[in-house]
Amino acid sequence: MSRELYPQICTGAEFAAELNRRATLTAGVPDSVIRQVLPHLNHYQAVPGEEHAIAIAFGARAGHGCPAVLMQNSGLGRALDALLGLQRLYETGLVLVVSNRGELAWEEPQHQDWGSLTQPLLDLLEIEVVDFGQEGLAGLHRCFDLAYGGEAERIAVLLVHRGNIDESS
Amino acid sequence: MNRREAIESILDRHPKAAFVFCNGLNSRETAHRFKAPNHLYLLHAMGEALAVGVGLKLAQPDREVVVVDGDGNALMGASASVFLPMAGLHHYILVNRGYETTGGQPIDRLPDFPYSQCIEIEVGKIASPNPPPPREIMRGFREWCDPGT
Repeated sequence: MSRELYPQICTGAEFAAELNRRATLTAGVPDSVIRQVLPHLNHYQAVPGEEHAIAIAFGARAGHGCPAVLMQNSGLGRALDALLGLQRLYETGLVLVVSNRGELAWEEPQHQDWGSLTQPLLDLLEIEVVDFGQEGLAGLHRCFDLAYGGEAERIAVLLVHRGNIDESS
Repeated sequence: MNRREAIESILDRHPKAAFVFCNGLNSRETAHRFKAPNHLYLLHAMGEALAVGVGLKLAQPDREVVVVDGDGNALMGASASVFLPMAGLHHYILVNRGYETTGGQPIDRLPDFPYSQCIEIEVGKIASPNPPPPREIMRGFREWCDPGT
């Protein structure tokens, strides 16, 4: 019996292709939800901790790049001080792709808290959240527009639900 | 050698580089004594100066990048040292074996940083104000390193 997942929107290769069109650099910590995206990314920098991914993206933006960071939701816990002390403080943009682990009943207990707390935490931080499940790949492009497309740059999170990106293999 | 002398010697060694200074006294005293548009002064995010420098280097691979850390900062961000060595990226650590910004609490142990240049400095600080506002720092730095200019 197959496990419950959210509706699939695209494959990892399709997601990566759209990310490659907009991002000059991607950095992150591997996560099983996005594992099929990573092999297709151009300019991907694997990092040992999410806070470093945030800092790398900040440095890249200071150098006129358009970076994206990929992580699972628990990585927000590690990343938060860097996010507030760099992008928020200096008013620079960031596209942050976050997989929302722990939303589904069958997921492991260690993910459950983050599954229920991710959206409220981002709301508390007043960070713009774009729901990939609702907006699809257009939502990814909207994140880039929010982050880098205007006079005022912003942190924009694309929240990806389990199964939105093909996990079948 | 005190902090000012150490920083001045690093600046002299890399006259055309982009600089990232870690938060705390390194940013404060450099902004106070040597403020320049090619300096990115971090005000927070302890431990992340090296990773910021890595991102800058990846965005502008032809530019020389210098990161000036403190030992407390380098210790907190030690896992970022896996990015070293990186051609054209220089990582300096000013070592005074303490958290001087917060009152001089000792740092008893430091790991080896084989690809960083550690400079022992005397304990001691000067009265220095907070660096300029972050928006001003970023605007000046981005203008300086605009690849179109």
